[in-house]
Amino acid sequence: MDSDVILVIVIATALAFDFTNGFHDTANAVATTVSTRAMSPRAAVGLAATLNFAGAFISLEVAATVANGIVDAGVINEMIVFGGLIGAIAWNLVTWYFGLPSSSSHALIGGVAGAAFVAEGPDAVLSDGLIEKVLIPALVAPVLAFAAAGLTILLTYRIVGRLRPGPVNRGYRLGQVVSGSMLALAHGTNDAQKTMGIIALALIAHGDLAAGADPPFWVVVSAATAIALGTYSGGWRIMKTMGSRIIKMDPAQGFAAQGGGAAVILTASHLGFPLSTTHTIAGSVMGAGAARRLSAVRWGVAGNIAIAWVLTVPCAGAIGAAAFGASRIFGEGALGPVLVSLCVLTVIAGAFARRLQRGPALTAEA
Amino acid sequence: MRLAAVDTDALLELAWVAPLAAVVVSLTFSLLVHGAARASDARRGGRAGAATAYVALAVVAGLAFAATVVFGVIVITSKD
Repeated sequence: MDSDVILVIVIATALAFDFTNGFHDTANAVATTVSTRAMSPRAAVGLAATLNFAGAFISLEVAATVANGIVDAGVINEMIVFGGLIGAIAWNLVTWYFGLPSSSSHALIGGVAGAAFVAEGPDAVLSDGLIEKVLIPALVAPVLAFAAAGLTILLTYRIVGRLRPGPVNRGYRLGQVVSGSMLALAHGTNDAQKTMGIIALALIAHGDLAAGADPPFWVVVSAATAIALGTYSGGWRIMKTMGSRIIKMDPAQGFAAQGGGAAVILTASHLGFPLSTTHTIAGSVMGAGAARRLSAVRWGVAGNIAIAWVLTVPCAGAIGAAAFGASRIFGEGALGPVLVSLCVLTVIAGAFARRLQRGPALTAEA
Repeated sequence: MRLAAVDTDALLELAWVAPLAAVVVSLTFSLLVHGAARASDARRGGRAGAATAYVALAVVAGLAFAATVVFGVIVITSKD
């Protein structure tokens, strides 16, 4: 009975993480599209949600383990995954509240690593994996995207700089629809798989799924639906940061940021060196602004974003560790996860209620 | 070559291939926009020859841009 309840809680928490992953990362695909008025906010998030949903069905290469290569696969169980998910959800909500784009993947890795650290000790966390899969990509992605977008916007202005702005802006707005769609599709194929992997892991641990088997169809559909709904609900705060608080961009800069960012992400994926979409797009937005004029970038906002990136793994890890520890106080049964889930839901409801009392949050039109 | 846990060969390849890919995407699309805008101006100015040349530029650049998009979709859908 207890194991059934834990399974249900882990699946529900995984889908909740998938939802926050969707709304947190909407900005990567559509922020620049919305800010340059290439599409209306609702149309942009609708397209992104549809492509996220479709992307989830394209690739079913589900990771067999969470935080593969970073946490010792032998120690991962449902309780550690639950702690990790709570850490990732909490960090996603904190960064959303402050309108800061940060990597949901790194939050999940941090959460699971923190829970595993508390459960099994420091040996459960593989430092080489952390360097290879978190630290180096976190340094490479923004720098490379910054350079790529900077180069592309200089080239762009060189080619179209003397033309009438009307047709040029219309052209780049159309281009942004294409580049934004590519990013949304790539996001769906990447990020929904994480949730499928988590649910598959829980089903395997519960004895409902053979190890190495493809996830059941309902898992694919529910993961795709959760990320699409999250995307459609739109993380407007982060979108505002990404689309207009870092730089005020014109359609050519928007296309350079998205197109350059997409080129970096897909090249990296092709070479087997996956990068965070969030880090890449934030870097390319800064590059597209700085290449025109260094002072065009609000470096204070950029600094806050960088601080959020540095804090992602340790903070999600600390929350994941706390969630795991709090669950364990009540033993190995379902009571701990149930109580922790209720506490988290209460805190989230309280934060949203407070937000509503203070008036509408940042919206698409803000 | 691997330094500690990092595949430096992949990293170095990424460092030049990724900006190159970004430049190719930008170049093809910018030439498409340039060709289309100039063709429109040339038609309005009654310069049929120039208009045809710019349309040809736009078509070639458009095809090249479409090829990069198709390649991107292939990369997205063929992950392992």
